[in-house]
Amino acid sequence: MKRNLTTVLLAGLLIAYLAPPAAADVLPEFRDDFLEDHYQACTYQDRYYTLNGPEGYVSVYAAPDQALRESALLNGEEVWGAWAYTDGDGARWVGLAGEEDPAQWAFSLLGWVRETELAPHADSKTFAQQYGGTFTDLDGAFLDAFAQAETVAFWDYPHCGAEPLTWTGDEVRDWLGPEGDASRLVTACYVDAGGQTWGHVTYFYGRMDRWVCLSDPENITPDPDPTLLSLPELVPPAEELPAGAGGFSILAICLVAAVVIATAVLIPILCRRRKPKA
Amino acid sequence: MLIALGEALALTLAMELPVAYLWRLRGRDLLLAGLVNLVTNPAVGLCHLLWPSPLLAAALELGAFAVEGFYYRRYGRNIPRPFRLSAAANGASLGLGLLLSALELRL
Repeated sequence: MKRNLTTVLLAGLLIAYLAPPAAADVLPEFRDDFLEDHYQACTYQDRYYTLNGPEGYVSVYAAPDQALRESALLNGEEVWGAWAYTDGDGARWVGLAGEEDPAQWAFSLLGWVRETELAPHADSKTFAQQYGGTFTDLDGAFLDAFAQAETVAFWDYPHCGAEPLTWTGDEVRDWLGPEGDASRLVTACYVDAGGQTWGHVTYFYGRMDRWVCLSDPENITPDPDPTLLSLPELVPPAEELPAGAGGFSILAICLVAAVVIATAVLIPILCRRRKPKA
Repeated sequence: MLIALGEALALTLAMELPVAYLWRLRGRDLLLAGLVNLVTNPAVGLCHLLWPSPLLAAALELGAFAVEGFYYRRYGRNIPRPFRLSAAANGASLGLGLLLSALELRL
């Protein structure tokens, strides 16, 4: 009995020790009819944007294949674009996360917006979007990039200018393991204009999306390049939102109904058959 | 949205009125052919815009065929085989619509 209790306690401690990294990989639940029906076609992207519609507001739809706008949001607000979907015409749509249900770690989706009406932030995903075509595999010369490092800096993206996250060299080497090298950490490489090689890290003690400078992993001094990413100009918010979220569409429905009813009434009058003369 | 519906109606009339004329509709019967499309086409077009779905589109076209055929039979003065006329006219305008969609995709 005592041995069994000890075993259970030890197992519990082991699970508790392992739990934090595993928990970092779990996604919250998102509640949305379109997402549920098209889950395989949607991509989780966990990306932040600024609302930036050309007319000062962004149209929000219940689903990408709906013609009727559900609501509108004024420009300037920061939103969390949790999911992405590409429709049959090649247009990208972003599912905006809405209210959270903290009891169940679940979010409802506010709706879907066209990505062209969103201004991306300067982040790793925008960097990948603009420079992904130049990424290469890890050069063998950098396999031991972390072998002697005392500190390793993890940046948002190369030359982002923000302070990096740092881990000690020992922590990185512990993670890599005795037989491991940089290939366990780096999934793609980028060579900047100055000839420095950067490695993209997507998993390090949990899901991650950061870059390490393989040429100089210990350098923690920001070296920003504000011209590296091309970001759209922000359109100021409109004076007010369009009248009624689906106002224009309601007008169309009323006009169509009026035409149909009026014509249906008119036909018996205009096309009445003459009674045959007695 | 209204412009799209207007264009669809114009194309439909451009296709179906000549078909009705070839079906030997004249005078009031030709007017009837134009009017029945005002009853069906805007409603079908609006539903298609709001709820794009091939299944719904097919159901709407069948409904339009039935409604137009009914009107031709009920109010036509000299319309031979009214439901065949409806099928021919709707088939022709549907074919034109599909052709134009295919051409748009290619461009």
